[in-house]
Amino acid sequence: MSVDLKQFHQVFFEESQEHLDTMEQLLMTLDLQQPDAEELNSIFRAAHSIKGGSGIFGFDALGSVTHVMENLLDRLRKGLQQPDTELVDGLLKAVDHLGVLLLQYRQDEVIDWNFVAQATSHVETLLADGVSQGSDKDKSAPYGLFEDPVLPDRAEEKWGLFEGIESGPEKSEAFGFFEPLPGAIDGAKESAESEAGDSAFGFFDEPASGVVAEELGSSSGEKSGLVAAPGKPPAPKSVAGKKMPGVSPTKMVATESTSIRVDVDKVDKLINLVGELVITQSMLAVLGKDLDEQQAERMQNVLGELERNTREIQESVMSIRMLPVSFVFNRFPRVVRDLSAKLGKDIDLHIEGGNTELDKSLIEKLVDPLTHLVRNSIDHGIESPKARAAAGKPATGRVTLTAAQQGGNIIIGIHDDGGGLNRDRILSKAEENGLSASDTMSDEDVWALIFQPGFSTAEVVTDVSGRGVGMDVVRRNISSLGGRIEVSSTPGQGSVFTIVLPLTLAIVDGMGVRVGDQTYIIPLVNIVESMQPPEKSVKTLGKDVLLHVRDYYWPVLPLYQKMNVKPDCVDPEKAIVVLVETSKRRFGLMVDELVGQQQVVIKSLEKHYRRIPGVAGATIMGDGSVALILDVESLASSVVDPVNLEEIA
Amino acid sequence: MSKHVLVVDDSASIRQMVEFTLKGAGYSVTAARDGEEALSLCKSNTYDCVLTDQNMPKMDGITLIKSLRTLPAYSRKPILVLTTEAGDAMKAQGRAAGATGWMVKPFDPKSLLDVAAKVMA
Repeated sequence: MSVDLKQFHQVFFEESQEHLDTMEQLLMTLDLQQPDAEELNSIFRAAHSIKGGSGIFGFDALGSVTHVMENLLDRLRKGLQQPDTELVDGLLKAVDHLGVLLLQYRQDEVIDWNFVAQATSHVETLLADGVSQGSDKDKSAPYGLFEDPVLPDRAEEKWGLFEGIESGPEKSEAFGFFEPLPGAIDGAKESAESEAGDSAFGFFDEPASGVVAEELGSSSGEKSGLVAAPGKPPAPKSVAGKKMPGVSPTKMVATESTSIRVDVDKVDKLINLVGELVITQSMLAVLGKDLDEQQAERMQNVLGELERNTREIQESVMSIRMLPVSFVFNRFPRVVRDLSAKLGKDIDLHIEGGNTELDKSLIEKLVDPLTHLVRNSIDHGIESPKARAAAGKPATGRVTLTAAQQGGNIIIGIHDDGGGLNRDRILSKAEENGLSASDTMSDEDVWALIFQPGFSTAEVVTDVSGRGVGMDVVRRNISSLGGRIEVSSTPGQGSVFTIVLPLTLAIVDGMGVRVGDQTYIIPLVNIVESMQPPEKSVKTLGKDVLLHVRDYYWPVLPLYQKMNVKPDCVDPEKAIVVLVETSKRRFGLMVDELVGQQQVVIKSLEKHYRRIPGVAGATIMGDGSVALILDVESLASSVVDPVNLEEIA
Repeated sequence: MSKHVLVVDDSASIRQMVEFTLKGAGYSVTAARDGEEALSLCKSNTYDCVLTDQNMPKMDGITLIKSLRTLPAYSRKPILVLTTEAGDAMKAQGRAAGATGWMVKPFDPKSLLDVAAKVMA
């Protein structure tokens, strides 16, 4: 029977990648003074599993590297060799090598065997002196010897149990049976018979057991050895207790939860379909309005039900795509470790809120910008130990990654306790690079300069943070995800980069508003309240209109001006003002009418048309018309600065 | 009725491969991802043969075998250890635990079927 092993390759690749990640993570956190036995075991198991799988699927390059790694790890877990920084570094490097090989297999590339040899010998050098290759081979030989005294003392086991297997005695044993002890039963005869064949597996016989003898008597010689069962089972309890001392069950349970692997495309298709379902449902709602009263009521009930179910389906489907941010965060201990070694800075990395969940596509696209920001914090942010000592700070710098959900947004922060952004240097650099800058700019505006293309504040260009081409790319990447990046900084105390991302990319709860013959959607998360402005609460100041509500002057932005459409009314007191709030500002949007609250599916405008300022995307309404979804954040920038307003007030 | 085999391995690719191979040869197969899961499966089901990996989280193969041998239903059932460690110590452990035999990874589908046929004959 031939089995096409290819079909299992994908699973093997994914599984191996997970094992590599596990190894890296555990190696990073390994306590060198008192290595945790279960952690060492887990690292060993990971290497072991890759080796086992690569053997079966014929990925020999992976197998040969993991093979030597396994020997080393086995020595570590048995306490024969003590881990030190050098060794951990070496193992991490080996993990990297495995990652490269895995990718090559994955992409069906030709394996560079020189590289494999290097990687293998690299691990071999890590083995403590005195560990000869001989004993090394012994431990991992693909066959083994019985301890049974009956057996001749040689390397190959030759049993006759599988005479059908054509292979010479030179071929190593890949399985075997345990023979009964000499004299106990007539199994010895069988072992003699089997000398000629190659033993590719083995069976254990219970030594001198009555049960065995009985079974043997009633069956043929060849089978008898196989069905032999132990007459007296050993007590397992004490062993079980001893073997698993440091296992923390919760940790294991968390990683071993019942799950299936699904192609992301399938999930994406589901999400698209749910999007269409949301549209269909709002179309039904529109149809329902035309029915007579009695039917309309029944229709409303059913529609309510449909809406609830649709919402639940949508939430469930979205949650499939959600991954904890720790997927990105967990790569940083390694980045920080490598960088701090390279730069001679001592850095503690703290991670908070790793369980915060984010859409998978966002997670993947976050990797590059976040890596850049973390590198930047370490390279430019954290000072050298000398400078830190001079400033009276602890020599060890601190970088903190945080993630948290805030309403419909995910907030990711990169904090460092370094020197903070240097206002003067940024300004002079900006001038050098021909960017418009002046000494009177607010700090916020100065910080924003670092996101301009071609800006670099590092006095020496390093290979760590690149050539200053990064920050503008970071900002562009993040805004392409529908998010934004902000920076705040205190001289001498450090900087905080904050990335604000939408929770999902596909569906948003919004309020439909009408201006003239157009409908716009305002995301619900931005809306504070909507009102018809009370008389006398509207003030005008030059060209600007202000609305005095709840002890605050809200600048009013007439949406018809921004969108260039003809409204029904231009007088704020007759129109509706929707009060909205963004991270920076609060203001009012003047519209003609509220249409109603609903879920809308975001369709990218850029993909189908082009980017429009102030518009985040488009959606299809229940009646089939297209409505634009407003980007309240970017509209905020065309509103009068609230600081100036307060002076007026 | 086809023979029912329990495959225990923490590696999904190996589980799938063994499962596929055995199913292709007409066995019914159940898979467990560690010793603990296998043991609880064995307490509620009777399998004709157990193929178990040695290195697994939570409960390793040897412990599983020892535990299974205390169950009356499994005192004589064939149990094979799949292992990459073919050393003497490993075999002695397997024997002491009451395993019927061992099989060294990597193995090819054909020898897997050979062994399965032998132990369940």
